[in-house]
Amino acid sequence: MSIDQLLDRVKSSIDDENLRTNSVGNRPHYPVFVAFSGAQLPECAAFTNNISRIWSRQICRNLLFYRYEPSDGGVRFTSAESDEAVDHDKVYRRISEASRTRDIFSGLDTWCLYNIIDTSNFSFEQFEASYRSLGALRYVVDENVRSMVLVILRESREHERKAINYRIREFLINANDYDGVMLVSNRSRGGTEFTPEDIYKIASNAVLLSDNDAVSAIDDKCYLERNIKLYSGKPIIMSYNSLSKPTKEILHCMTESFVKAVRESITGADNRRMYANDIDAVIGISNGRLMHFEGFINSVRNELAGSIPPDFFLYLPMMSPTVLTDADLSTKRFAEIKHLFNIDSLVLTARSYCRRLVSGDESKRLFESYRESINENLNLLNINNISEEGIANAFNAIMDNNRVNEGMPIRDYYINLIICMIKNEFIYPFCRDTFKSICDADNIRNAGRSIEEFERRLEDEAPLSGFDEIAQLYGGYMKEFTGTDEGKKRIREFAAIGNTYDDLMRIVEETLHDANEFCNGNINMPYIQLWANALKLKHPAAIFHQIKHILDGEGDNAILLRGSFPVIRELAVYSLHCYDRNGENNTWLYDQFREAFSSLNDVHFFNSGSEDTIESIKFYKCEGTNLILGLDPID
Amino acid sequence: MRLEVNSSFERSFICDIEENGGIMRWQYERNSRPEYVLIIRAPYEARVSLSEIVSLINSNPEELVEDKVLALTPDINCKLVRSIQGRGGVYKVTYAPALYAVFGCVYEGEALAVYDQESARQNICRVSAVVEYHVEDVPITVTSGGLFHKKKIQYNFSKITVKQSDSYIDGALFYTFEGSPNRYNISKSMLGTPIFVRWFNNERNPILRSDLEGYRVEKR
Repeated sequence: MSIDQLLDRVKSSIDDENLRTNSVGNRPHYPVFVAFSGAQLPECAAFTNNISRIWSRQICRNLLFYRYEPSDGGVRFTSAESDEAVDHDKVYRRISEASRTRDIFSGLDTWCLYNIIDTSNFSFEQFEASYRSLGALRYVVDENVRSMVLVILRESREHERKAINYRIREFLINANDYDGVMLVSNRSRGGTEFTPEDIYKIASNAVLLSDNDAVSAIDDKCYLERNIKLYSGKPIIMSYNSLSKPTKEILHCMTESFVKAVRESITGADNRRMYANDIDAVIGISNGRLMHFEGFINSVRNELAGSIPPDFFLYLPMMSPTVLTDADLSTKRFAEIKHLFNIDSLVLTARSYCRRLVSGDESKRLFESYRESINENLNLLNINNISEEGIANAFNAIMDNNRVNEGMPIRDYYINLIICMIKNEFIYPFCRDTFKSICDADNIRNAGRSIEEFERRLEDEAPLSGFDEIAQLYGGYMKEFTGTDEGKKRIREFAAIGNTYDDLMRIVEETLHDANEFCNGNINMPYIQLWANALKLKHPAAIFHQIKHILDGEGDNAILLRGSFPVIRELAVYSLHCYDRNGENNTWLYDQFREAFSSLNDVHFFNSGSEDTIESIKFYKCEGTNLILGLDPID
Repeated sequence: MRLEVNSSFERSFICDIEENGGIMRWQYERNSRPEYVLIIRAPYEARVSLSEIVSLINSNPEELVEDKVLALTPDINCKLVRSIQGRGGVYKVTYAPALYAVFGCVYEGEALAVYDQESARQNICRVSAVVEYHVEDVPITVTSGGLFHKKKIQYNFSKITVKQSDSYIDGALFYTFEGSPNRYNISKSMLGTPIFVRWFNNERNPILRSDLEGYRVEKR
């Protein structure tokens, strides 16, 4: 996974979280089947991510997104998330599953079918084959279908591409197979070029706007009016503008800030002296005990006390045939009677008991979990300051160096012998070896390298233009977060020995989530206000003016199709947080917009519920010969 | 001498391998006698991989000469024997836990090819260390009670003497009693000198058992 993909993931999960907390009740009216022809995986992801931003990931799991290729009069599907082939049976199953859902769709009597044809690398014939796949797709859905074709053009200077695009546009003049036809190009009338992912994100709005059903009644009227225009059967083109919180840039800046804090901690730690107490803490020693094994030791002691039969010691090998009584064993001190026995056998029997004990599954798990806990405790912040000698001293200090007390009866002596043996011969050596293996120079170097690799990739993927004020503001809060206990814990985790590159990615992902919550607590204002503050816009009128300028300032130049056709606007949709799920408590911005556009009939509002994005999506008629007006037919 | 494993097929030169009285014997398959045999001695529990052994030999091929024991690792020795006579071979083994494997070799062109045996593995023999012990019953009578209630009780002991053995390792043997979960390990230092063990409940004499694979106890 690249850092870019990681940030995308965090972004969409933050979006999802926002949606859950600020839901305005948007959902699809009818079930959705999106069929991509000619799309790459990241483009499909851009498309679906934008839809799930409004309808939530949970709902989108019930929508069908597949890539397809026309084949022998039918279609062959592949997943929109991987290159896995998908057989028709699986698609049928998904369709039946969607039909069994309750409370997700407003109606199940119709399916909205979207045929997204990306002609970027298609010949005209390939485009035509995909266009004519409507019948095959209808056959698969096998329900009442409302269809829309969305054709994506890639404008280029190549002669051949121009010729193909001309033929496609010419073809669309007489095309009347679909209920709705949309045409989007990667270059605007004004000449601005968009990335494929941007184009898919823009195109996905056609799905949202043609199939959204909201809880409030205000939206119902809009829904009907919008659909009359979007499903006119005639080609429609669109333009798009937005003002949105640069979440990804913010996350990038926060990641940089985090990694910088880690680097500073590592550098700062290099010369810090580790005292015996610090080493004890790393090892897990407290009050002269290795706490990780304390429970185990106690349970062994209890088990021994209950399991050694009273006469066990009567049958030990003796130096001469001597009759001892139970009373001798329970009252006499071990020192008094030890000369009667072969002590080697007692020691050996104890050792053999210990060996059997530590080779049990439960003990193995305990030893393994100690290794894991040490892995967590050791990191680049402390490892260089922990010497082998320091570790040896710490263990020596807790070793039961004294011989086992012989002043007690043989049974107590034997139990203490076993406990002492388990600690000195099994547990401590294991722990010392564990430290030695983790503190191995190669491990330390590798951990350092993983971090360097992460830093390098982060730098490679940094935005070229640098960060804007808002991203920097969040970066600053991340720095503050790294000073908190939670943040310091994340730094230690990131610098842990034995981290792979994947571990680092996981830790950054979790840190971004934590830090995002921390930031939200600090920057408790909607994005627009943040943005206005950054631009030093104080007066509400000035703020609105600036927003409107961003959304509409380009005028007709924003239309995503080149050509000299006359501009006939059908519909303008402003997508922003308008009101709550009941259609009440209007936002300030919505009221401003409504007032500004009160005289225009073709302006609609889409209550996205999002505080982080304001969008304008406009649709224009472009039919008949207007589609090719001013273009040279190229043969 | 440099060896090569002929991995293209397996060929069972050796069969019916067994050890008796310190002599390991094997038979050659009818009509299929090798020119040499390669004898491997490895730890009792080891798994012998012919290709690994041959690559160890080939790391210093000049050291492999006929009829001379060559130590490949501290645990693994080998010997190449040429004098193949009659229908079988013999080899004197020492009574220490070990695994012996015998492979047939034939010259193929310049190289001496070693053949792995088929899966039946009739070329492998595990030899246990035999630990001998001697035991005699030693009853002890203890008198208890007052002048008129004198009571004599007999306590049974076994006097066990385990014979010295170079290959013995601590804890290889233990003794226990029928009907008792207890086991008492025998250390190397206890070999050669008698120990006295009281009978369990005065009825059951101690039984010697081996705790490790590769050790066998024998009463003399």
